[in-house]
Amino acid sequence: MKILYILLGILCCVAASSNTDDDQKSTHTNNWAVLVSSSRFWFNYRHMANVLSFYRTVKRLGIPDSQIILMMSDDVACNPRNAFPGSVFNNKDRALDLYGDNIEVDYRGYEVTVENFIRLLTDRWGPDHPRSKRLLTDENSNIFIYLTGHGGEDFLKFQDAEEISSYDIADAFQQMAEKKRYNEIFFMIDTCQANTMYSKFYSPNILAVGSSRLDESSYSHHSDTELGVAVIDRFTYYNLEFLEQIEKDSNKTMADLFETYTFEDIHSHAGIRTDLYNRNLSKVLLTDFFGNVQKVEVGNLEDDLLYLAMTNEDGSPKQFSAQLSQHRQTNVSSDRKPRPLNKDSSKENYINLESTEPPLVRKLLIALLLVSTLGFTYTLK
Amino acid sequence: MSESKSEILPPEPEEERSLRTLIFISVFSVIVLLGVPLWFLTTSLYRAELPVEEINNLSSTLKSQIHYDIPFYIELPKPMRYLVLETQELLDSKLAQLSSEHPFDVDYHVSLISGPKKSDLDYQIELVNSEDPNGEGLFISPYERRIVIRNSENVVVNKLVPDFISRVILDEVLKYEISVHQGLLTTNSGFEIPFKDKLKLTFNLFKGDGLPIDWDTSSLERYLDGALENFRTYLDLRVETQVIYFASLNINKDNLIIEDGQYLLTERNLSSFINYSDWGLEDSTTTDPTLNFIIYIPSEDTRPLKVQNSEHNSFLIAQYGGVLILNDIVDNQLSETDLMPILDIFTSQLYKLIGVPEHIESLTPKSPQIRVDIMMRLKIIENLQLAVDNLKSLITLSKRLSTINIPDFTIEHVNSAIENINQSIDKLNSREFVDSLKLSNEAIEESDRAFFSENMVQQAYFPDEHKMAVYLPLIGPIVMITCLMFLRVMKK
Repeated sequence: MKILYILLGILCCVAASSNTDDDQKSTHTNNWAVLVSSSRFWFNYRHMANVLSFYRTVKRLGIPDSQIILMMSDDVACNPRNAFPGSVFNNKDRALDLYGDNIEVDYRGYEVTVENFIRLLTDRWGPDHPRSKRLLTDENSNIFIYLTGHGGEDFLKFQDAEEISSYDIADAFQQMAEKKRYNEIFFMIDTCQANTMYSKFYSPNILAVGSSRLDESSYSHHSDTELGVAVIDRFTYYNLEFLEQIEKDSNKTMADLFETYTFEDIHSHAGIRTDLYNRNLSKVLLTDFFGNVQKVEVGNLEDDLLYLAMTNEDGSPKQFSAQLSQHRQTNVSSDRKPRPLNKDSSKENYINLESTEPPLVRKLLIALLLVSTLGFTYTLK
Repeated sequence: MSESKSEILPPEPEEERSLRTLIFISVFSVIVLLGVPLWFLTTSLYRAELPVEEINNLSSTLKSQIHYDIPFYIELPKPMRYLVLETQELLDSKLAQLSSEHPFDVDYHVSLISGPKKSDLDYQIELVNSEDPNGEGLFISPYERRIVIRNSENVVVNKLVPDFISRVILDEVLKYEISVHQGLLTTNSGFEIPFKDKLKLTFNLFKGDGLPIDWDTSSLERYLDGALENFRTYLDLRVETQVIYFASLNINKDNLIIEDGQYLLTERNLSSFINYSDWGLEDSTTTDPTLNFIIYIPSEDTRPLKVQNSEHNSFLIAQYGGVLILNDIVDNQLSETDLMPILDIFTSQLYKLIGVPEHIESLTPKSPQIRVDIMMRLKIIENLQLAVDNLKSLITLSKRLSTINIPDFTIEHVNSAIENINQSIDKLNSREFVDSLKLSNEAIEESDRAFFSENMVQQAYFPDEHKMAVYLPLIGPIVMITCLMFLRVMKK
């Protein structure tokens, strides 16, 4: 029996030591960000600025636009009350126009609904929902989710029309966990009584932070007198202040970020929930969530694969079952010449090896269109 | 009470009283016959019955339902046919021995069949006699599925031929597959893309400057035909090419280390090398997996650009693609001879990204065909497991979330996924590996469709006080009026 205990002890030690080794590095291979401003109208300017600031930050740190889902009403930049049309600023010094270049809003205006948010997380869409508006994550994805808007105990208001409860988000996360749709989630929320919003989570590997406790408000940081509205929230402001110093190859960790949260700055008690999260926060790089650091391998190449594929054993060239060149030509109708390769390389030369649909279908469609127009004009008479 | 009332009001005439009763009955029946069913219909959830029993059954018996064998064909003159039987016995006992050391997850066999191979996808073993008494040898052709075993005097005299053949098959050809079945190795390298039977490949030529360049696309196509040949049996491939000029480097030139007059890309730089927003690599039209291969020609001011520690000046990005940096180009063109080494590198990267096991001495043979076959067979089992896991998670989900809809549509897809799984197992057991792989992929897609069904969105959470707030103003007045009416009718 004693031996058994000793063995068990050794086993535990081995397990524990291997565990700490794993702790060091995240195992994800891709990064996604979901940024949501759930409010609407001019006076909520700061929520739009919050979310656009994070958009800028994650993009700067390398997450491609196709992996950022931006959800906001988008009604402030071109609002008639905006003294600086087409711009959104997050500071009264107006040094940085958040709306400046290349903003890709995936859900805007009345598309920002609870249903769409839940559908986005659980990826339940019709077959023709565009790829750019879907969260196509897998078990290797780290997701950063940022929500801002007006909220209360266990709810966040969506555009003055409906609200999402903490239970809904918790259940949606569970569905994602069940379908292995994430590796880790970093959930950040800036709203009044924000910490209640993550209190109902029960799925593994979720790290959550909120701006304020139950019965506490979250405050805005400062106003721009010319705009006449507050431009950013406190919690977001201090997060961004820290993240601005981060570069793509930074070694700063989550623990470093969380240390900067003080009541003096934020004017509310920021909350951090780690019980669902296994890794040591001082080992979790900020770029695990805010950046897009890909696993890269240099070298370790295998030689001759192409040669083997191209030649027979006796050295003669191999015949292939399918040929790309044929494939391209067969898609072009037989009465026309195959499209020549674009030799004029001074322009961008984009050769799509898949051709469009055969002209027969097009002819039929045109015929159908003609017949229906004729019929329509006839009935009008 | 009624007497005192009759003093103030004249007694109600008989017909009015019956009219009141009629009104009460009609109002009441509208509430009961129309209102209640309508309320019930609009608030109830449709939850179709999931085949829970069947899925649980499938999940627990999946691996035990699989028993496949890999045929090896051997052509022998008649007097030597006894060797086939002896070798087969030896193979079986060796596999049994291996299984007793580390149990196999599925029933796995190798069969030796006398005769010529039936198609190019089968393995052929050839026995050759060597003149040299110690000249026994082995040649696994990297060009086709052919294994040549050279026996020497020694081997034949000592009756070691069956032993030799079985060792070649189990230790040289199938070692990797067996180790995976034993659970000693995992197929996951972290680099490969998730399996789907469709794949898009893009070949990109990026130039840092605007000097025109010409690349020989016809020989590129020819090389690709060769490189992709082994995957054509089961993958639906689509290839796109593009040339982009002024593709600026994503990394600030000042941040690059300069060593021996070369700009050095360190491993830290590499992970953010791809410029997603500017390089036109994003494609929002397809959800099929995409692999991108990039030839990057830096502009004059960042030349020569070197990838640190890379012999071929190239690197691989997990689940994304491969990059090669080309500093020297002659006459602004990439000819056939220039493309050959480039495509060789890309082919190697492609194999890794698709998930073909690497060639390691006495684990996997060099032959790309055999390695692709091994990957395919292992993928079938992985796919089946994944499809079953998907269905299982659908069940757990429906149990856990009581307010989620389960439409008939979901059941249809569940059933078709189950059917695909069963068919795929049948095909696998009858050695039709390509068909089995296709069906197993179909099973995953169907189970995904079932899980991600559009109508399966959970109702938003309603706190009880909200329900009160909704129902009270709605039901309150109706209940009051009908109750008072009822009292009045009863009094008469």
